[in-house]
Amino acid sequence: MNKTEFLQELYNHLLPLSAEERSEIIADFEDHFRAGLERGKTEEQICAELGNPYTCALQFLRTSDTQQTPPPPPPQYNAPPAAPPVPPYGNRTPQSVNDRRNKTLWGILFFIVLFCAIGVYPASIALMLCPIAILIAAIVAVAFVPTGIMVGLMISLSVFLFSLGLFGFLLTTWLLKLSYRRAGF
Amino acid sequence: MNTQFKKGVLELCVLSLLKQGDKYGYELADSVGKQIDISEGSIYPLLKRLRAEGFFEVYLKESPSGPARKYYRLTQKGADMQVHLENEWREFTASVSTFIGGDSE
Repeated sequence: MNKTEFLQELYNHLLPLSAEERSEIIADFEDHFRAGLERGKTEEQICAELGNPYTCALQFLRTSDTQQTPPPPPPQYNAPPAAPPVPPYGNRTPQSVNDRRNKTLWGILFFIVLFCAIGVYPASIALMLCPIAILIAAIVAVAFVPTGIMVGLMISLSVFLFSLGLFGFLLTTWLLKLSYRRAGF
Repeated sequence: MNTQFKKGVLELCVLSLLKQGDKYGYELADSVGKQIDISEGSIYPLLKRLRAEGFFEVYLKESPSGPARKYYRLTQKGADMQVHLENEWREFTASVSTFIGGDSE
């Protein structure tokens, strides 16, 4: 490597610096070459002693004034914003990714509930209608075993089965409505 | 020798050289390069940094041949720093010597 090559490479790697700084550094190295040549050294010898121009340029870049500006702060982990309070049904506006994800989950729940409803609705209707059957059975049963216990048993049974059917019907309906609204279809 | 270690010592070398008298870049680089196996090119970034920290100032002086040369002169701050680093160096080498000599008692 000769003087021109060395200075050219040094210059190229110093481009991030201001033109003023760069020309001052190049001038220093030109002086260095001049002084070395005066002492009878060859350009190649001087280059060898100076070392790698790239390494040298890096050291300048690290200590430069223009590099004093602090580097941008490292990206920080942003905690997701706290979930907003669930607004009343009906007038909700889509706001965030969080919101959209919740809607998707509610949508999935809706379809699961809908699938269950196919089984639950007929069952609950049957349960609510069964007191009619029990009434008929009760008439026969009481006719054969006319005791207060039998009457009580029949009434309790019909109330229990009717309540169970009503409960299943209402629960399923409530879940269906809720998930349908939350999903925002 | 470890490069980082050499770089730290380089500062003391340059300040000590300038304590003996004003010098220009090539003289400093050449003097250090002759004694310590380091790329002479790394002297210049060091000179720039030490100058920015106010340890020395520069002035131009006519040379017998060619254009004026940039000379480095130690400031009071630089002289104080040299004393500080020299003391640190003596203490450090004295401590290390006790281990090397094997008479650490």
